[in-house]
Amino acid sequence: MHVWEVFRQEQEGEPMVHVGSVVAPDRERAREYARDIYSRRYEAYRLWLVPREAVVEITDLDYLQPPIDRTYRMGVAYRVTVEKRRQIKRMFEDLAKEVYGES
Amino acid sequence: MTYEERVETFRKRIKEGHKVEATDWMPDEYRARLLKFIEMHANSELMGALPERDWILRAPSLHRKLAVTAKIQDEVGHAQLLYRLVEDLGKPREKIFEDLVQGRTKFHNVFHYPTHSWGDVGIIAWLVDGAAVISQGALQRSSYAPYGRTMRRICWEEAFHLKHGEDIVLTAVMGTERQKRLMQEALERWWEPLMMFHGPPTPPEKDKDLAWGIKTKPNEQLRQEFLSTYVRKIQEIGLKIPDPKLKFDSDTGRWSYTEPDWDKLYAIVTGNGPASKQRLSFRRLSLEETAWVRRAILGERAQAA
Amino acid sequence: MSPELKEAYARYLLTLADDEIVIGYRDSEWTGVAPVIEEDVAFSSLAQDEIGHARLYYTLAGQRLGKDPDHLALLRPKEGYYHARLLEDRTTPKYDPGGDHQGGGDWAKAVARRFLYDLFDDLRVEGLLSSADPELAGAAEKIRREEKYHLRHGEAWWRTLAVGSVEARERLEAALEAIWPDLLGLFEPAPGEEALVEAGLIARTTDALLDPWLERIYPYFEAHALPFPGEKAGAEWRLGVEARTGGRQGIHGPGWDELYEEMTMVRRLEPEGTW
Repeated sequence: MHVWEVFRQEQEGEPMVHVGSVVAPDRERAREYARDIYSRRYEAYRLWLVPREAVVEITDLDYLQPPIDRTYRMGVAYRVTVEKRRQIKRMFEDLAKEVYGES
Repeated sequence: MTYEERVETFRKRIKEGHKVEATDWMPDEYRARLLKFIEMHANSELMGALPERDWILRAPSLHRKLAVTAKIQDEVGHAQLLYRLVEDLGKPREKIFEDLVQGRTKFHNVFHYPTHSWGDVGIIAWLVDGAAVISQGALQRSSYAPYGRTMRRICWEEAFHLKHGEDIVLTAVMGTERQKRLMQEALERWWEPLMMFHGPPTPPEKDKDLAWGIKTKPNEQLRQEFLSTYVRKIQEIGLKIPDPKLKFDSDTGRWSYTEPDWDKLYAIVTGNGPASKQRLSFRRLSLEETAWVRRAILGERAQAA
Repeated sequence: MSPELKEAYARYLLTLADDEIVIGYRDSEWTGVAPVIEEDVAFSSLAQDEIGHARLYYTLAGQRLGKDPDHLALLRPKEGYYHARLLEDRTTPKYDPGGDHQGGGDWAKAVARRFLYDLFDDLRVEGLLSSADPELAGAAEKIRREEKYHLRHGEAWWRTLAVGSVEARERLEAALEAIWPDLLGLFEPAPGEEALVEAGLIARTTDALLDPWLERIYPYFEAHALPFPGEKAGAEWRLGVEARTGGRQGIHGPGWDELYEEMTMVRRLEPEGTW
């Protein structure tokens, strides 16, 4: 008997999500069993069956989430740009006052 | 790190709400408890198919026939999901079944009772499944993530069972006296097993499964939630709960009830319930009669290899 | 439609429905006791499909007879059901609340019966696709979309039993030998089928499906050198087995006595009640 990992897409365009596994003697019956175990109530738009041996797992957190700062890749590092816009606006306003005087 | 230190770190992570996956390291005690807990749950789903299975042929309309068959199919489907978890924790399926039919592993108390009428079908699907959803709902937050995910799926399907069961009961209660009596008698048969369902009120600090986060709510809390959810619904439709002591104390916010005989519960789950022996002998018979099929499946694979 | 034609048509629809409900009921008994848990769930789906098909046919028959589908399914007299006798026997062990369970469950018989019946039914439903009754043609089209998966299931199990082990093969052969007379009983026509063909309601009478069915099943036997009780001489099939008929006339065996008793048990408590 073989273990197949089952991935399900619940609606067109949505991601394939792992939902569990089935044990079956061959591909044909793996298909049937996956349908009957994971989509008895119209839950699936699409199913993927992957032999368990084919799954490569990476769980090393130092590798997946390196300890040294990587925030320069992320939006959160750029909140400061909002402040910069404000400063530039103020700069132009000050300049205008200098040129045209108070109005 | 020593083994003890690893266990301590693991314990701490669980307390902080971290989740464990099948391929993660886990302490031997955690694995053993988890396996035993999920195996009993899986056995219950499988053995639970038997009392209701008697009524597959007897359902009184085409709609009920389809719904009862689908419901029992779901229970077997749940057994499949849970046995897959047990297998992944290291116990092969053949061994699981051997232990089950030899009485070495347990299944839930409610599946040790006979079914007498169509009333039982309604009460089981509504209230036994209702009680099960209360504990399974809490198990969605189990520290063992594959179990928690499986519970989400199972609870989603159980929601259909409750509606199906409640509809059977309501339809009968709106019908003739005879139909209504079927439901009242079934409720009387099932009330004691239902009150035992969540187990004795073990003090939370002594419950190891709770400490490991395998389960997340103490037994008594689950029973109180069951009573809060269902007592009013049962009484509203004119059915009488056979416990004169059952009442809600608004000062303490708790239900009081006739204390079930916990020794009796222990006797039942260890194979001495009214239908335990019959159920296990039937499970053994059906396994024996199909053993050749499993051998043929393996034989066919051997040839293909 | 003349009254005679109308009667023959209703009878034919009931025959279709009775075949489907009886095999659906018998196969649904495997729910909870099949050889492998995954298969348990799969086989139960097949059984539910058949009951669903029966419900469609009972609904069509009910519209013509002015009767409720549930009445037709569960409240006719025992001798008023027209399914083939092949379908009525139990293939699972039987639970006895006293503990004296009856063994005799036979997965080989369940699988062989279902596959060879499905191949018959596929030919029969094919002949309904062009029916002059658009409702029946529409039902047949939907039914066929489900049945194609039943055939795939049957093929896989046929192969497993034929080559999986000596024991499995022996069981398959024994099951086939036992059911041949009843397999041929499938081709017993319902009264008035010729008129239905003439009116364009069905394409072929049931007995005319025998040759195409033999042509279709023979390769499955040949592929695994399974004994086949007949041979082709020219364009003619010569069979060494006699059909056991009577089912289409309401004559049945002990398997039906048992099933009828069970399937009507609860409903008979309040036949006209709402359940």
